Amino acid sequence: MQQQRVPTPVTGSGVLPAVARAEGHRPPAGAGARPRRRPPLPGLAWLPLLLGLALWGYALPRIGFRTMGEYGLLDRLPAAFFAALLVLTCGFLLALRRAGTAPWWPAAYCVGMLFALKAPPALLYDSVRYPWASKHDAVVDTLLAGGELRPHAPLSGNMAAYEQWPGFFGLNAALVRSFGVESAAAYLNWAPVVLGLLLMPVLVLLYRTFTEDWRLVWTGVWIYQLANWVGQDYLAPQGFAYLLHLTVLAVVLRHFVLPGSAGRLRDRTFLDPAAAAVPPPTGRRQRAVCVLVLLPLLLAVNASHQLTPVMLCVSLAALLLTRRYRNYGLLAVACAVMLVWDLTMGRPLFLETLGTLRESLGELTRNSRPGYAGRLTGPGPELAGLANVLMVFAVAVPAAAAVLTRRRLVRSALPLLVVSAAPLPLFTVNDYGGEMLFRVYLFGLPGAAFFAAAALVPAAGARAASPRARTVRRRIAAVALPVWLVALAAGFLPSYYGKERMHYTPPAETALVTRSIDRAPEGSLVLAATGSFPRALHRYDRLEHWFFAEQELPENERMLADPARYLDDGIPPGTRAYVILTRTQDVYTAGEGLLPPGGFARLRDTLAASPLFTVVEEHPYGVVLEHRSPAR
Amino acid sequence: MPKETQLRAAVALSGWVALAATLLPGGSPLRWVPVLLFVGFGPGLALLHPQPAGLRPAARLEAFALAAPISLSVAVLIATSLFLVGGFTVTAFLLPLAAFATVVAALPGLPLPAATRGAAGGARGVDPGEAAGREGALSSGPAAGYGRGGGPSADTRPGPGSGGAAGAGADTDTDADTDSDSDTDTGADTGAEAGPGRAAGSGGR
Repeated sequence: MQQQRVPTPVTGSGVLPAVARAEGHRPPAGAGARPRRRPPLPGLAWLPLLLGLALWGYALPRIGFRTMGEYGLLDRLPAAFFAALLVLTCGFLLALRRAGTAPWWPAAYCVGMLFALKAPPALLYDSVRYPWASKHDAVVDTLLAGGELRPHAPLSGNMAAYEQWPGFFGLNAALVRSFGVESAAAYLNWAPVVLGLLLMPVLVLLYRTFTEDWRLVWTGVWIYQLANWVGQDYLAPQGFAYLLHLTVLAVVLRHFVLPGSAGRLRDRTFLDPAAAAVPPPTGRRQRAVCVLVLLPLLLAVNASHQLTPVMLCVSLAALLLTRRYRNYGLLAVACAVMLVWDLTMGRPLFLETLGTLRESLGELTRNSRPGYAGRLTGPGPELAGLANVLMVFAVAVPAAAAVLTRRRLVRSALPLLVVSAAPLPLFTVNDYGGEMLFRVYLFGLPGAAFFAAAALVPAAGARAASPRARTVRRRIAAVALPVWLVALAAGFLPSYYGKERMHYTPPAETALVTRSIDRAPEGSLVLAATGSFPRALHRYDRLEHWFFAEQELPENERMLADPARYLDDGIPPGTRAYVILTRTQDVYTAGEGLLPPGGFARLRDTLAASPLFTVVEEHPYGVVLEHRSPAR
Repeated sequence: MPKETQLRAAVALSGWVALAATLLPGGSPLRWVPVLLFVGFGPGLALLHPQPAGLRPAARLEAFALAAPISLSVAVLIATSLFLVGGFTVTAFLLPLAAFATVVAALPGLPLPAATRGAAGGARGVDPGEAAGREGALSSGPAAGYGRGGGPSADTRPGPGSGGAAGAGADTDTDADTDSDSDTDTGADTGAEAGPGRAAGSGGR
């Protein structure tokens, strides 16, 4: 039986859906839908987008990435670039006012902002962004050259781990061959944009599960994008596995509600005006089908990355705390897949990690420390470090405020809060090579962004003590949202581009490294101050590596007292060894505080002058030395 | 040709087009664009999209969001298996993917609850308390993102988890969805679940 359509306005949007307007319906009373002012003309929604992208297009060729100084890209971005971000933010805020009827405009602005923020390196750079991303390129090359996986073959520098969790590299190897390109470097710099685009609908799906207010959804997505400065979305297994992780959670949160668990959370009089009612419950058979649908995702997460399956299992276990999602079966399947993978393909690293857990367990401060060992040094890295901390607060403070003030929204969106907070206890387990802080931040971000948005976008139909209180609240929100979004955009730039001198390497330096490593005979030892330089692990399956400055500063100071002797002592007798020291290593070791100021230059000069080493090649951007081994 | 058949054919064909494109010179956009689109979306869309009555509006968002992660997961599993047995070639990678997409495009879409009419596993699987809970929900409209639509034929689609499920789900209310993507909603729910609470709920909006 066909029934009449009676559309209701989007909660909190303050405007009527298009259908209602077309059919001349009046909004039902009490729906929080009194339009106070006319929304901006729909025809002009594209104008800021066009203007912002035009400004961005104008700024792009004027970004001086080749002449970066202490502040990375920050002082090399033209004024038009900042203006473009500002215009896009303004356009987004305008589009947000009509988000209920035209959710595609905020979506278009989110895509525009993603491009504006993360596409410049992909369009401009003539080399791989993030020297350590070239490691993944090397893994793909090795996989294609060998044509097979050898998960249990011993490889120098923990590289065997990549063949024990090879899913992402297998996919990229397949894409490289299918595209007919030379290597993954051809598209590597596009990864943040592509992953961002793929993640956006998943985030929307996740947020729509907990709110009906499109303004809240898109503000959450916008905040997520600006707060995703953490640099985990390059071409790496973690970025890909993270996408799959969120997808699994989105399916779980939408399709695994147990019958009889919703209670009052479907009662509109009880819910926050912006909240969505709990998704309809599913029967056991439907949930079983959903587990089957999730199985390829679970397998791919486990095949691709070591840590993400742990995060996923922790999140699913945390969901057991909520009555709504107490699905033991799904958790059992996720844990079983993880254990089977860890005990078969990933056995060597898994057992090794288990062995070290006894030392790292409970070392809360050490496990939550960022990076290797040093302290950020220099104006750019220091500013980036400060911006990182401020950005964390800029998201955490409003999120906490929303958790405290919008109790009803928190009650219905509690599962999102739970899965976002679930990875926090992992600080007590392991430091994950100095990366645990970034990973925990990233996994908590979707929920944090949602609740931060909830603080900045109050529900239009919210009850207030008096009309005056309502007006005050509305005025605060009208100021707070734009100010906060502009502040987040301003904080993103130093956080993401403040240390860019470490991330961009001139092609000549890459060529020098490639040449030197190609020259090294099989079994040689490659020495470098740090592994953070382009193509550091080129031909990693044929060579050994020693990144000798990746240790605590006091130990490095001892090394600097007589570097030639220090390295000579560490090189196994009879081994052919090459020392590669490049400009990027200089920038990295100085910026991350691994070496004291001037330490790298001292290292380079001392080694070049030492009788224990011969200079093979020397350029302003790097030097290659060969060890003179008396035993050879 | 009905729209649904066109979609099935397009998804099924995309794999073979991608496979054929690999004959073109390496790096050409005519080669990598179809390959990327197919590997990134083809298998997922083939799995989720073909529903006899089309996808319900909010389920469209879900199919769109899940298509890439599912497609890429399937691609990961095929590529990794091929490298494990040392048998990787472009054809060995794309051929099973294309065949998979073709076969599943011909089958009904995966019965994710949001894609079908109802969401609960049938009246038997739902306890009275839950039913009462849903009655209480009437004033709120269905859960966000669970837009209905597709009309009365939507519950005729086969497959596990739908069928009897249809009536007992969120479709207990006559409100249209509160989200703007539900404009095709027909409020076709005429199931037995529409009790007294329905009228009360609808009025409460």
